[in-house]
Amino acid sequence: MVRNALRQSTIVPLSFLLGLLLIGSVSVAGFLILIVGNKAGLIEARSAIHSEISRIKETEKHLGISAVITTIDQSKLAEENTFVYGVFARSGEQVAGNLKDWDWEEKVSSFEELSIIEVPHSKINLSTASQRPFAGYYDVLTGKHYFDDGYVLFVGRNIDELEAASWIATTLGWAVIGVMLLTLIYVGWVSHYVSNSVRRFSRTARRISTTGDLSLRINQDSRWHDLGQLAETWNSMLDEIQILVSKIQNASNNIAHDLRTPLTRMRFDIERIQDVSLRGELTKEADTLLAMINGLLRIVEIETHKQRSSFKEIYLDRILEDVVLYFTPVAEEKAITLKTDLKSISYFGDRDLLFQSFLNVLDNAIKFTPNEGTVSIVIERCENGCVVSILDSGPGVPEGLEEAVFDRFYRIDESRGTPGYGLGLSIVAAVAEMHGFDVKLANNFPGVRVDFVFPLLSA
Amino acid sequence: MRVLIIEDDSKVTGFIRKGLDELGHTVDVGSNGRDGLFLATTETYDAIIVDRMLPGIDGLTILQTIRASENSTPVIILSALGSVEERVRGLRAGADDYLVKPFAFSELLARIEILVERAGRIETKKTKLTAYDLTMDLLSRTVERSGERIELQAREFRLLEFMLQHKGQVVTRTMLLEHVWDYHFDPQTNVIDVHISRLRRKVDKGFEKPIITTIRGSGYIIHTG
Repeated sequence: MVRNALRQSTIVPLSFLLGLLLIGSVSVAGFLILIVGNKAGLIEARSAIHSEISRIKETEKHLGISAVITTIDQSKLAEENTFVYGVFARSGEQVAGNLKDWDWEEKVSSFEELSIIEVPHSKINLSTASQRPFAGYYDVLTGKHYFDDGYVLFVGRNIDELEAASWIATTLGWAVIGVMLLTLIYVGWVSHYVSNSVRRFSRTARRISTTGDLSLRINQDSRWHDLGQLAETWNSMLDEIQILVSKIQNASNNIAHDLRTPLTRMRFDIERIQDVSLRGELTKEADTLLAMINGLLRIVEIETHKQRSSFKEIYLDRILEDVVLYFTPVAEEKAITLKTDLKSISYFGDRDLLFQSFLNVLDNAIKFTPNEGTVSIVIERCENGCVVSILDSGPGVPEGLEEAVFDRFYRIDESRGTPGYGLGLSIVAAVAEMHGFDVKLANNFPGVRVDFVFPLLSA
Repeated sequence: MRVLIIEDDSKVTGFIRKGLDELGHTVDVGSNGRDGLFLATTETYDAIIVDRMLPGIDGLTILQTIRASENSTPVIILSALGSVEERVRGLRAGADDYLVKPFAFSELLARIEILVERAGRIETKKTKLTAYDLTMDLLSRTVERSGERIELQAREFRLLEFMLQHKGQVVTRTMLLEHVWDYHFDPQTNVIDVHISRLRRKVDKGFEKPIITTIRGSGYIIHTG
């Protein structure tokens, strides 16, 4: 059930896509912030400086300081140079390199550690490095080394570009996260709004189907064009239905009126016949006709008047008790035992119609149960509500006719000798349809079992 | 008594009028809504019979107009519409009773008589109801006949009580179902007769004069005196 519902819903692939998108952008943002932003470039710069230092140290060891000075001066001229060199004598005089002063000696740590210092633009002669606007200084990652003969060597690297790149990466990362968050909030709001509207639709639809009140309408949404249009279409459909239903009701009212008025006249005519035996005979015939037409009209009335204004909270067990008391003398005449096992169950429905439904079924049960038989009336709670069962010990229903007995005017051949018009169970079926409960008839060997299955009431 | 019939079907009015005439009652007829409403508001009647579906002004509107002018004349609605909702609407509009077509004249007559009697009676809560040599005590809920105690079941007691309350008037099977069982519909079975015959066995058996009399084709009566 759940899996099916999930598969049918378009929400699932959509939210799967959205989830992928979310995971993707969060990873991109994380990569930008953690890897790029977290000064990965610095590590590389550090190792570059270290290898440069060891190269210079090797040169000094084998070729002496003059060779160092020459290499540095050559490196200084190289294009696209981001390296900073400075060789100073003990006296502080610059011997080589593009670093002009050396009063950074104290700020700069050894080559093992390296430190970042701020060097004013004027103190460094860098060929191509772009100057950071407004700052007035370069950020330089550097370390120092003392040669044995009193010279001091500074080797460093301008890391302004690295810093800028890391700043951009971090900002971009947070921006992605920010946009994602805004999108999530927006999507959340939209889905909340739409599903709320849809829920309103279905609530109205449910109210119409449970109360039968066709005058209910859905509020039109002026803020959301598509939803507003849907509500409008929906409402005009309800208008149509209401008009149709009232037309049907008027038609059936007119039929009822047109059938019953002449019957009333006929009934009066018969009452005025002087001949007693003829009057009795005609009255009997007329009453049979009236009973059939009244039964039929009653079904039509139950079917067309779906308005449930007559519904209130009732107790099924009390109605059944009334039905049983009503039939007790009839059952006693046939020495039939009426067994009851009733539990208190409340239900929302029409008291008169429910009484008549139970009465019609119990009437059949008593009619078809032989003398000294048993008829049981039972209420049982079940998972989704309750079941009212009426069981008789009569001959049962021929196989295959369990449904047909609910048809109008249908009578089983064997029962033609007993009084009735074949409408009792049709009325029961119409009442069940109107209330929304189920009626099932089955052979019970012996006899017939009629179950009224009442669904649990949802408030 | 004086009765107003507001009904457009001349044959139905004709029969009701003839039937009531024969019993010595005066009958006025409004054959459409407008005439009927005019008569109902300008004349005084003991009872008004209104058809639900009328040309011109609808039966319910007439009824509401009558009630709006603080006129409490008993009104009985005749209708081809028999659904519960229609009945409820009729009673809410101020009707005292609601009779679905087709009906027997005797049913209509029995109902009118009860309504008129009830309207004229000053409501005194009787604690004892009697008929011939039978006494019903509503406080101790006991029934005696010629000093002999009769045991009745609750439903039998209600049946007898209702008939005693309307002593001298015919009560029909539907009226009994409505008032004793408190359910509204046409029973179409003879179950009520079975209840009555059981009641009779207790109340009348062994006594010379029967208290409950059957009126063929309409119902039962307990005669006065």
